[in-house]
Amino acid sequence: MASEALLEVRDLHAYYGQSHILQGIDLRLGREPLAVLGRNGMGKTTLCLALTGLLPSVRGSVRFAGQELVGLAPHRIAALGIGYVPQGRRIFPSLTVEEHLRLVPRRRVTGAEPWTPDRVYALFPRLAERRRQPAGTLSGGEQQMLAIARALLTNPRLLIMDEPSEGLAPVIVEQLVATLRHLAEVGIAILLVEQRLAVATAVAQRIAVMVGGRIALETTAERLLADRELQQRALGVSAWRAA
Amino acid sequence: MSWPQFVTVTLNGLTLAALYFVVAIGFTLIFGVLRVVNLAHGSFYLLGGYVGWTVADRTGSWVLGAVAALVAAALGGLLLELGLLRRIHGQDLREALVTIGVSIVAADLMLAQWGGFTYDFSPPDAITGGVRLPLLGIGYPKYRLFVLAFALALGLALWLLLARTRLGIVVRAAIDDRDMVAAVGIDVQRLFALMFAVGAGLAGLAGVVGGSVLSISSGEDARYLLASLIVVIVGGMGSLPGTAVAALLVALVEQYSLALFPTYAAIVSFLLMVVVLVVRPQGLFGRPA
Repeated sequence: MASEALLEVRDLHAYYGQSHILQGIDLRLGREPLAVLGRNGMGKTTLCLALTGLLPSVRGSVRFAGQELVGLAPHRIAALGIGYVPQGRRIFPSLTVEEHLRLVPRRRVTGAEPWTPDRVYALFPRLAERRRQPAGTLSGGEQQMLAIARALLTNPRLLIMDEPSEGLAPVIVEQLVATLRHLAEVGIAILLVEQRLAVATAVAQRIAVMVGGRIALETTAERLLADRELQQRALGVSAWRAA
Repeated sequence: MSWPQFVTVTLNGLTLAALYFVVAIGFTLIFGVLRVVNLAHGSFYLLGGYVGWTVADRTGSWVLGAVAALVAAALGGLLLELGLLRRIHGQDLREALVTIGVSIVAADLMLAQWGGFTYDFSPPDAITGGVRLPLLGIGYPKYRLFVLAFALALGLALWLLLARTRLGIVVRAAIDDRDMVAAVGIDVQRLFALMFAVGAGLAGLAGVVGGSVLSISSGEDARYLLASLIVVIVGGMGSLPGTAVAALLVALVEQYSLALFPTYAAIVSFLLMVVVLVVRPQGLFGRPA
């Protein structure tokens, strides 16, 4: 934790109109993946929207690689190296797979090997097969691959993923977990927002639990998995059962 | 209806459809990408017509007038977007009120500048006069056929742009989900400004092209705003093929009903719109909201 943080969130507040959704979030993220766990309605998606600049009414501080993000337009934040895989995937139904990859302006990177359409196709051979297909006709798992591919092409240093496992079959979720681990190994920092304990703990060692717009506790995957009572308290019965 | 009359009415419908398409396509592009219902769209038609006429009158070149109309209306659109609408994006009611307000102010300013006169254009000789149509056996104004060809060429060019170029991909993606376009690193505000300039510019160009069919005078702004609204509601907001099909439908229905029962012609277009709204509220080619 003493090492230089890639992402440092301090006292972040966010609002939808009059409702105060995020009520002072503090988070630090280095190279290690971090999972934010929480039930529905705890503000997880709002956190993602606030970090990516898609929610304008935000107060507090978000520093990414030394740069303040609060107040920046979404495209500026993306250009700094934050990739976003949103809840529900939100691929563009009227574009083909190939057009999704052509759309993304590619950020120049130094050091790391850059992501190209070919490298993305190598990671997801299924997408290569479906290159010319309209994205709206892909299966849920394929759409998830495409949403990840789209984010990877921006050459992100940090990938923010909002409930990527939602609505996917168990076998597809396993592949997804393997993909995320692979991405972490090649040096992409991952902020995974999840409802499912099993997915979160399979990807990240560090777990932050979100309750009512705040980070209620930070713990490790082992400790959370071993402590049923803690799971109950933090996540409620549904998440315990999903584990 | 006799055969020559039927052919003439049909051709009139087709050329009117061409004009409606050129005006409405800018309206639908602006709505598709920005989600702004630009109620000042007709003002850009009229502005283009007046500026085009003035430039054509001074220089003696109709083509130069058309270019000036395009540029003037595009600049006007840019000014409206950057100066006013950018501050209130996402607030539908305010956007509607601001664009209505702008259209009223613009109408008065143009009345002050150009007066209540009717202005006639003189297109180049190559596209004026009449021509005897083979097979159909009737004579028809060359200029109206030019309008038809112009709209077809414009539609094809726009379709190629949307289908083949990266800009086209960005525009289609933005019609699907603007926020995700921003999240991959594209400056959507710049895209909005560009779409507004293009949409308004096309309306301005239509002011010259359409004004040359009959003439241009105050009041035309409201007429073409209304036509654009009906066309995009019937066709589906933000859809290029929808706009083309709806322009055809609306213009043909209008011309046939004018020929068959002139007294009630005015309400038939609205009837068409009402039927579409009842049967398919998102428009013929629109996606459900």
